[in-house]
Amino acid sequence: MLKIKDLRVSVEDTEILKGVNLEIKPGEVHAIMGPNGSGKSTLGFVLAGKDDYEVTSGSIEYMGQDLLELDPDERAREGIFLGFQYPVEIPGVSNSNFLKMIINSIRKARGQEELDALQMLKLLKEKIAALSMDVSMLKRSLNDGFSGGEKKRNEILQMAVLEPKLAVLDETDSGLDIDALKVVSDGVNSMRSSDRGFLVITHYQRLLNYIVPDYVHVLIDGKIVKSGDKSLALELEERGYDWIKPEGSTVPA
Amino acid sequence: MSKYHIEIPSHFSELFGRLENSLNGQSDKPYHRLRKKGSELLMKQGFPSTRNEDYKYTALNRVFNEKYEIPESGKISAQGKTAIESIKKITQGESSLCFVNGIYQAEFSSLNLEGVQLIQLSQLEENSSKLRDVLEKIDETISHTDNPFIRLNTSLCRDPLLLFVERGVKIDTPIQLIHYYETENSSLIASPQLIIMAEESSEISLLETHLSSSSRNNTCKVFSNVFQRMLVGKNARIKHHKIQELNKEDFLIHNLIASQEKDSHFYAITADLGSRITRNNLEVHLKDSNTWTEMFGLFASNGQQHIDNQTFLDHAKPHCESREWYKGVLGGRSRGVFNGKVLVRQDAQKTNAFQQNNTLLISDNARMDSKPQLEIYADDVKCSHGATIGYMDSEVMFYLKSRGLDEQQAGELIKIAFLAEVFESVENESIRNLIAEKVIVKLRTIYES
Amino acid sequence: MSDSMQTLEQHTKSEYKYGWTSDIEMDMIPKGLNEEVVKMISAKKNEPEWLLNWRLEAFEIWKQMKEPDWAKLNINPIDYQDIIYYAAPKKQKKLNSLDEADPELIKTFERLGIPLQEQKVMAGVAVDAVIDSVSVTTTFKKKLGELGIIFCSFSEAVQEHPELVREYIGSVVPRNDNYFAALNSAVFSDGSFCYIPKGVRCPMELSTYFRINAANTGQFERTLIVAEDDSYVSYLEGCTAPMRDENQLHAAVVEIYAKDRAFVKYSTVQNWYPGDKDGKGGVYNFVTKRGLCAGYQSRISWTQVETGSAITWKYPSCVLKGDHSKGEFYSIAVTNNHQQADTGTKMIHLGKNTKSTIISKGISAGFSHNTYRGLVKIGKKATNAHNFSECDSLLMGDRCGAHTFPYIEIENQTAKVEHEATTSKIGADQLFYCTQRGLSDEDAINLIVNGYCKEVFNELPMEFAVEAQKLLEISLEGSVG
Repeated sequence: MLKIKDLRVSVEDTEILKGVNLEIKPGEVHAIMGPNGSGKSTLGFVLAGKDDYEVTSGSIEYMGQDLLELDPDERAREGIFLGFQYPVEIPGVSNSNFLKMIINSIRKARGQEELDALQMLKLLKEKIAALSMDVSMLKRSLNDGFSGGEKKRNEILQMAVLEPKLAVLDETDSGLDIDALKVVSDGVNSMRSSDRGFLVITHYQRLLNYIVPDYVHVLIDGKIVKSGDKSLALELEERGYDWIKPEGSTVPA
Repeated sequence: MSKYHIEIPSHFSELFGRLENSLNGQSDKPYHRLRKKGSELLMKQGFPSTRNEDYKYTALNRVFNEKYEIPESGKISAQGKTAIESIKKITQGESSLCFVNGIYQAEFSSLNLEGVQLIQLSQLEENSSKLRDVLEKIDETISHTDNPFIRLNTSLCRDPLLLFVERGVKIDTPIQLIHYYETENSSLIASPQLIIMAEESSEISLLETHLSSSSRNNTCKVFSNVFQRMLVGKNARIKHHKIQELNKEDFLIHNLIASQEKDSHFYAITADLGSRITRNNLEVHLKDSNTWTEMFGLFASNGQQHIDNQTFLDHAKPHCESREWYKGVLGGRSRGVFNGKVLVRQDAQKTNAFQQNNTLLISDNARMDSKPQLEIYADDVKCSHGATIGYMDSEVMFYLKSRGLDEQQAGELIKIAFLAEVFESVENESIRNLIAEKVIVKLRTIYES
Repeated sequence: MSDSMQTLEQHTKSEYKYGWTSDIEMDMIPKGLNEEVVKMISAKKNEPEWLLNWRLEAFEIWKQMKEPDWAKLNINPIDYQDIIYYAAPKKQKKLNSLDEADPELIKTFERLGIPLQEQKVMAGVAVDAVIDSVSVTTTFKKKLGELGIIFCSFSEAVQEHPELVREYIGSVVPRNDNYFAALNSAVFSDGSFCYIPKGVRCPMELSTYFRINAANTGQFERTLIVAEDDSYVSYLEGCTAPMRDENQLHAAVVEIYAKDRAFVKYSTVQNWYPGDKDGKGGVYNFVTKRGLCAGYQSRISWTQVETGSAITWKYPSCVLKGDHSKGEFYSIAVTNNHQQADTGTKMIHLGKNTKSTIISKGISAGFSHNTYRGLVKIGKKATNAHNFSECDSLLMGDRCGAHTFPYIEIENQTAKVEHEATTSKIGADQLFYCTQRGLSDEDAINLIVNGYCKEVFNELPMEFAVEAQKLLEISLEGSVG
């Protein structure tokens, strides 16, 4: 469903991704690991279409179309979901209102009927319970004053209601204690299916104990330098990134 | 003359002529052209009235009505000498420039720093490029300023000083600017003018003090009208500290214009503890990107004191950051004014400007007027300002008392802690301690009526 | 320019949707202003002599005054002799029901969405509609009358309740208060009058709709609200004007007098014609609004949504004279294209334990300028006064300006005054986050702007809030950046 070919990306004239190749098929869970500053988050932002990330060469094909041609909202409606490392706070916009808007906007795009208030509430309550969240979060402003854990759960909640085809989760584990990590991982695992792909971006192997990947890629200095199965993650945990660093790389481990 | 100004009183307009006559043949020197121009422009412009927005809360009639003499150079009392010597000790006396009644006193001054030149403008060759540069800067300022006191200063200044810091020279020890005022039988107007050029990647620190002699006829007043122009070069840094402890009948109008080049840093702090009326006009112009500006002020006043801080920060270029914080404690019948304006021009994208004014009123008859202003024409900016005015927090008071402090101790602690947030920004330890010490002494004299 | 910027820009380039003119036959007096005109207006309204004299004195005061020049506004000079000071729909006979009204007029109201018809009356809004200079109809009068509430046009009040008008007119905004208040006092043509007796809670929202229709006319209406002890009223005001090339002048005066424990809530949605996208035409809106919290524990709350007018000069204020009285100001001011707004409030604390709250949200787009100007004054005797002010500005586009000029004057040491202000643009991160979840740029912007204004919308009566939100979206359509 996703084919990234020789992707090069610059931000403000600094090249961050220096030729990334990656293919994800439906039903697969891929993990991208790498030290800080290696370009992991950039990959997520480029897939979601953020401004300021300039693709200088290469291509991204998604479900048979050129992803780079689409605006961020079009990509979202085509089924790409990015779980943010730092979810944005929007004061004055209630969480429930926001959830209603995004759900109906995506349903509309898929040709599904929009949900009315009752159906919406039912859906939200169900998903909220599954994530051990408090219903009162619906009334609060979007992410405004949320704790780190609450924000991450809110991201997973949005993923759950939007039912994306490809979910990119950027450092979803950062700032979570072990209980929250389990809840979040359960949320993700319950969504694993044969027609949905996942790209899990993480710095630590810990998350991959809970969300077991099919493939693990190591991104260093803007390139995927090694790929393997879940055992690669364990090896990285044990040995760090140094042994795998390409010759001449300047990136600190 | 606009309706926002009043005519210059004749006892002021006469001063220029009197100075001109006393110059003994120096009136054909190049600087005299600027004195003349300053005087002419001042006559045309007039003094500001309270109808002028920037003087809405500060009536200067008391300053304008007084009849002043122009100080003679060269005389200092024994008492004055002792006072100056004791101030010098603050920085071990290494580098200090002394001014008596606004006039530079070479024999009491010393400056032996490699790469730093102190030049009296009158000593420069008439065709030297340095003189041309300086005159140009002053000319530009008096022509374009809307501040009549800069014009007044220029018209009455005997001999401006130029402090020139060479490229790459970094001086950590503060250079002292000691202003001492004394008079016996008449009121005086002091008009010191100082131009500082900090060349690329240079760094200096200044400690400016204003003190007037304690023994004098009470009907005599000193009006010090200072003008300083600071040019902060590329990647250069100027730290300016000022402590003002004038007599309770004296006036200070302190005019400082700084301009900053790329990557430069300008830091200014003023601690106003004395004087009847103080008006600080601080203007900073950001000429290029990536600059960092800090403006701090504290004041503690009682009796009939009136302390007015006016600041203007001109964000003209992108990626500049500024921080401004003024705090005051007002007792007695004193009045405080803060009027801070931050202008963010259209090109100044990514500006980050913060402005804050907090005041404690500790007397029923004190009054504070605060006008923090933002004028913004660029959209990608982060600007915020805030102002609070209030009394000491009764819960904090209660907490301190419950720990055994009495009312006065607790009050002092709160007031000092309140002002400490400002003077703790001073990096130099001896200056920080000096300000703290003076603030503590001053606060003890401020009572609640 | 980024994509989102472009969308924002398109988003704010929309047309004024209320800009039609009505073919209603008008009774107009000649252009110009002199003593005769003042007398003519007074005579047309069949006013008692005291009121004529009151007007003539105001005219004398006005002649001595100069136009204020301190606001941050660029104003084309106004020729006060080129304005028609009185224009009224010709059918002036008393109407017993709406059926007798000029059908053109009814159509006008319908297009305005004014709930004059029965089914809308059911919604519980009593309406006084003022077209150009005179009040055309007041609904719901009978039901209000049963409670002793007087809600009628100003002219009617002059005829029916002269003692009340005489007692309170000019008591909050004196004739010499400012240039435009003096002008209004001399030539005001109509407006609304509202009196809530002791202990009465007005059971419905009272609403006035103002519309300028005839060309070259100024509108000078006057509103007077008197709330007796323990009374309550919520009052709404809406404004529109047709599109015209020349500038039209609107100089209104609103006075509110609140006695012990009375609470008056005054909401405005101002949508006068803002001029075209090049800044041609539009209404000059110079309004003096002031409430006097005269009584113990009295409370006055101003809420305004200002989206229209080429120029807005307006500072709804509260004089907090009664001990424990409370003043509030909630404002959203949106400027686009070449609009200029200089607006804010004055909170004058005179009584003990008085409180005031100021929440101001400015949004500037296009080439517009939006200034918050406010005064918080704590008088010497106002012990334990509290004020909290929050003034936020949002910039959309790099050719507009947002300015914050608060004046804080404190003469009492027990005062607690806090002012906070921020200026920012819609965060690119916020926009990206919303679009990543599938919202279009427009929807994302509306969502964020509405969130930003929420504190103020919350203060508006329900129906008004919905209208105000729509208005906000229309005003910014095509530009947000």
